[in-house]
Amino acid sequence: MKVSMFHLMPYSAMPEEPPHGPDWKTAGIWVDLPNSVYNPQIGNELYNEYLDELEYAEQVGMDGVCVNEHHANMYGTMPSPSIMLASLARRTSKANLIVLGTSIALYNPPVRVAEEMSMIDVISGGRVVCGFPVGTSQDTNWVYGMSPSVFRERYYEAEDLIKKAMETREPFHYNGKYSKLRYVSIWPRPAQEPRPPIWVPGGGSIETWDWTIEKDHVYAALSYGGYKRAQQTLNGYWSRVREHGADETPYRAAYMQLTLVSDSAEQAKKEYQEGVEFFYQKLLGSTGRYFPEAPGYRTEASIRAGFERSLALAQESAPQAGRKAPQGAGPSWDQLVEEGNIVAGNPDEVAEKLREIATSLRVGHVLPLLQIGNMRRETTMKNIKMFGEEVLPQIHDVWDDEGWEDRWSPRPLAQRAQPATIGG
Amino acid sequence: MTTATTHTERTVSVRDGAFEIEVREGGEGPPLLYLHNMMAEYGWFPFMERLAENYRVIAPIFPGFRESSGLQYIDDPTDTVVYHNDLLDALGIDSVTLMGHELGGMFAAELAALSPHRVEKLVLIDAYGLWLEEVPCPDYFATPRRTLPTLMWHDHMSEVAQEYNPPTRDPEISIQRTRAQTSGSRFLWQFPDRGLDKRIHRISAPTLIVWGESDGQIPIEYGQAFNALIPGSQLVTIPEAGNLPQIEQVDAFMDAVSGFLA
Repeated sequence: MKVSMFHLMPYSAMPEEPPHGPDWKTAGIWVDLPNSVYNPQIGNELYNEYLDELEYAEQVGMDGVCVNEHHANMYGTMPSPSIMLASLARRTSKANLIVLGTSIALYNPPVRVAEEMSMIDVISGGRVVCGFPVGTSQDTNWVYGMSPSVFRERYYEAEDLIKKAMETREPFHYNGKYSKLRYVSIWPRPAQEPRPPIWVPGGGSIETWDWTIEKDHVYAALSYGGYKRAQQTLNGYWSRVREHGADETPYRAAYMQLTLVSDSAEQAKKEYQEGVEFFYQKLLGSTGRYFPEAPGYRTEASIRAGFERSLALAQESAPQAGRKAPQGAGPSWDQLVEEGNIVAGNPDEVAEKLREIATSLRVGHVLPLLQIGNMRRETTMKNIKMFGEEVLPQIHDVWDDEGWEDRWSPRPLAQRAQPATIGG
Repeated sequence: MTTATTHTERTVSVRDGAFEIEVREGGEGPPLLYLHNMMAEYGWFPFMERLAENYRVIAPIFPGFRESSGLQYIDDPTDTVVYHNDLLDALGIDSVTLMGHELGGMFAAELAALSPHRVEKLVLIDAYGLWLEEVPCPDYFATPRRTLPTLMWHDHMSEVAQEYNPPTRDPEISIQRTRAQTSGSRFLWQFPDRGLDKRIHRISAPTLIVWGESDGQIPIEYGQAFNALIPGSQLVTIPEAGNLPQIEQVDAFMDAVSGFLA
């Protein structure tokens, strides 16, 4: 099994009182959040701290590091994931550089994404994984102003064009509906041949399952809803895989899990409770009163399925979290442990639980989220260290006995340049 | 509100079946084409009944709303004009009295600007299509659904307002409403401005602009702006009416319209 550390890079210096509403639940932390709230002095510390943490993840033996994209948002401060990946490319040497992902419908022309991914792939010697999400409604519809009636179509066209741009070795023309490019020939081309693997972060829609299976991309279930709710999603996914007659290699699926490791379950609670509750109660508390999921963000088929499956799926992905903003303070540490949102305990307990989750969900890529809410350097580093040194060795072999080939991890160049000593 | 005996419902095939359009029709006389709003409510309203006393009132449902199909062939204002030309052809009508409300007002203005030969007279009711930097109209989609009625109506607690678009637990109606919002977002998302101000001077049909004085969805300044931009137009404002004067103040609306159409 491959294990890669996920990071959201939240802004954690949230003032007690929001500047534009009676409380944070009403005001929201997304879309029209005034940036007067943002303190660049603290932001300077946070970005550097967070990058240090991901770099340390490589040192403790993680297979990869994951970044993602959000806009005008407090819980994820990476409007450009490429910038983070580029930075990581220079200070890591072997970890997979996974972007989960780039909201490709938003880039015009989308070949920009193909160029950036190829640049980072070449800089890093072929360590990139491209992630192509549809993007959240808040990011795509509200912040980037894309009408819900066109953005899905733009997404499909962008994926097609970006993939083709990375794979094709001769100039070609692309007369699409949204991109009209007479000359496409990206420089550089990616280091990986024909291109980096593509992962698709998704919620629980049947269309996304079918599409990723048809395209032979990884389906990545990114949810703060935890493994109990994810079971339903992954069950649905695997039944579609069987329906399509595709192979059942666990490596075609990835799953993110909030994970907290300490010397004991009690100690984990003591050390990480504040960060976790800050995340669930404040950062995920609300998208605000005015920016729910835009009408048409979900397809009618998904809405219909949603009426049937209702609550469980509605809670599964971040953008929907705000629609059902919890009343009162929000979920507590104990509730989150109980409901499977977080995995916490001593290394043996965490390892056992993660093995159980990986097997039960049948995922070949597990993505632990180890910095949560307002956790700062010392706390996060401890979590990463204990995870890497004591959990990782106990879970790496989960799928070894089935002997599947992982077709969705990068294939780096055998010879890779490293940053030289400055001036050397 | 609905008097089913006086109108018919049918499906009209447009452009060799590219569009299958739901159409309500009632009355006899010269044709009057009514283009609906974002809600695409399928009632046959009293104002339609009153118009049907003198006109053959034709109320098509725009592609992507309710069961009308073909929105994939419409990306921009030009496509709406081509579609409405094709629709009139399919109906066998050369030219019409054209009336459009809100989103339908935007479509009506586009058609009147780009195909003036098909429009004899134009009535715009609380229409979208312009953007005034000094009077930004509310973001229709970001307005909470529970708040929207307070913008739409002079008195959102009145009987007509309550009956117009009642809350529902029916998943199919709910999906249909979401579909309407989604399709409308193609023309109104974030700004109800798709460049009409560059074409509006081409409108040559006699034009009446009717506006509810209490419209909080598209404030009265927009009515004044339409009136300033359309050559020779006249503006009539309706007291105690919001965005839907034809529903909320039928008599006053009919008074304003009848004189103009006569």
